[in-house]
Amino acid sequence: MDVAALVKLALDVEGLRAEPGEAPRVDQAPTKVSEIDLNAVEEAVSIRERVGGSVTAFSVLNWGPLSRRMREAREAAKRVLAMGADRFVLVADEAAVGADTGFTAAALAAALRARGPFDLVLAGEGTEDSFGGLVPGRLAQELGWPYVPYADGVEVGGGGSVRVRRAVGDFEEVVEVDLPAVISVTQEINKPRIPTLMQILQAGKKPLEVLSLSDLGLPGPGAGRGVRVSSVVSPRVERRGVVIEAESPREAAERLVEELRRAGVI
Amino acid sequence: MSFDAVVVGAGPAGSAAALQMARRGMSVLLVERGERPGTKNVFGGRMYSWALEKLVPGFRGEAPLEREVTREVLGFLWRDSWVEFQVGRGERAAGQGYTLLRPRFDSWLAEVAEGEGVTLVSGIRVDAPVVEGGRVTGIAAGPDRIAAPVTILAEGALGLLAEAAGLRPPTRARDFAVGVKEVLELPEEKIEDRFGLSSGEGSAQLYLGDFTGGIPGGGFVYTNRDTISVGVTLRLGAYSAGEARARTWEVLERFKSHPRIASYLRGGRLVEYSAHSLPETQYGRVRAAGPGVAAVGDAAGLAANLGITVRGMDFALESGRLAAEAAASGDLLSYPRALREGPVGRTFERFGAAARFMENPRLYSSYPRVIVAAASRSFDVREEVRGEGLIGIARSELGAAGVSTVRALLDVLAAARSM
Repeated sequence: MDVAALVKLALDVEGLRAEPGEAPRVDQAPTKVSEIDLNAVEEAVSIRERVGGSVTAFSVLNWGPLSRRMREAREAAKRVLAMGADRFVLVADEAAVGADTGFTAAALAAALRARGPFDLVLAGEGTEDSFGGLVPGRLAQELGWPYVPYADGVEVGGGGSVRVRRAVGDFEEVVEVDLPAVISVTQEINKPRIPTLMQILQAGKKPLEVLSLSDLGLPGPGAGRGVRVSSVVSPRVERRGVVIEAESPREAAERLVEELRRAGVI
Repeated sequence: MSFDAVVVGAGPAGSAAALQMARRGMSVLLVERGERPGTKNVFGGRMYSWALEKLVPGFRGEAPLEREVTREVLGFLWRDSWVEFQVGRGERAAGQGYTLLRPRFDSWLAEVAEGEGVTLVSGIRVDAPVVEGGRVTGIAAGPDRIAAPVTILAEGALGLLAEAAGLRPPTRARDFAVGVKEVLELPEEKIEDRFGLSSGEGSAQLYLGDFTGGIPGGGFVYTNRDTISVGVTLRLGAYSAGEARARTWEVLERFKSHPRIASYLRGGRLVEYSAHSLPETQYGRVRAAGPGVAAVGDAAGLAANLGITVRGMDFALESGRLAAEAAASGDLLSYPRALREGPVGRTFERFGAAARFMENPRLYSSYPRVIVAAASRSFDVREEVRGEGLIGIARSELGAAGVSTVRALLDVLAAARSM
């Protein structure tokens, strides 16, 4: 089975710095592979290990500046390839930076068509920076394929379909979907493997292909801005700065309880 | 997959060794445990630049440096008083040392090495050296073994691989200190105003005082571009590991809340905190090389607290370069001699006494008090007239601290001679 895994270079939110009430300094924050996308890669690799075929990872760079992100993308690709993907296709273009999910899905669809055919597309249910969870669905629409979100189990039998287990609220649903299809996975589906030294070394020899929008025959700047982010600010967190000084732990505890009551939190 | 050399650890020592071997035409694998180089160490703040100058002559235009250190401060804190000796070195300091932040610096140096053809792999822990017939023949990492004629251990302070390779004696607590550090963010102009610095200039400040509670150790403050590095180091021999965990943060908090130190840090926003072990007084106890293997940087015990200077990164870079040259010449065992006869060995030879002097317990228990109290009393003005004079004040403060005048004079002489 030929499987495609979608991989986003998401902002590392732990590295995001901002003054309260101001926009976070996105350009200075590092990016890394969104955690749940690693589950998608793991599932793709384990399907190939079970039934044979190939795994191709696809990524569209969403965050600038491109010069810096390219270095991070190469590191990310190396990690994904070390996990067992056979090749990595990276769409990197200034015009795709800041694009909305519709444009990202269109770019992915074009890349999938150009490097396909594929039987199955796997993606994380959402990415840890913006968690829109829209790209897999919009990609399925672009491709005209069925879409099953939030899978925590994928069973590949013979024939042209797969069984997908979904935990929905407090019941479990099993669906059978005809291939080709797009499936988004949850973090519960598996535990992504940690590559060994040798696997990382071998990853350096696997193909990483970088495509621009014109390579894919897609329109340039101006397209794909259906949704515009009008502002991003970090919340103001006010500290009251109350210091309790007391003779004994008991007295301190009593005064703390008193303070918390007064603040209305207990 | 085979390499001419494997280097464990992509800190300054490891990247320097890898870089120089690659330049000499060797194929080199550099393995780093952290997610990327520079994420797993703790570094006070200042690098002396002579060794990097030799390795990467154009580093000033390329390396991520924070500030050029032109200001040195040696301070003594006692209760809420203090004495600071401040030395402004002006032009004389030019180019000698820089403050820097290691996550950025180490990534940069590893990239320079990659540019010379080094293969860097991050996120992998090396479990052990492979030893066959008394010779190190490579490394083991998880299920994999990588064979190489040369293995360079740049694993850092604990040196467990170097110990397994037979280069280091078993680890003893007294050979280590623990360092804890915070990085506080402040606007660039505020730092310059507060420390009295011009743009691009930096200050390096070391402190002794009662904040360590008598434990041998000290505090430091280094100015970066828009952050301040502040921390303490404590010798581990003086207290147990359990106590170390409980007390180290306490000591840092006491240091930070001393009025003098607090005045530097006011309004700073905590952006990073970290802790790490650091080698002390290990030079001479570690063999720098054996068959097929060499230790560089902290793994070789190459760090020294010489009282008014604290050295480590320059030794790391130089030892890495020397080990690489020895490996490239085909005679790795010539490295210990090159190290001993070069600037690193000569520094330990010349200033070893200073490192030993820093073990003097009175530096941590009595002298900060004597110095601060005597200096502070000299400025007392009260209705009652007392005519003790400076020597009288010093003697009475020494007496109060339980140190004889003769003992103190001998210590002053020892300090003057060793530093």
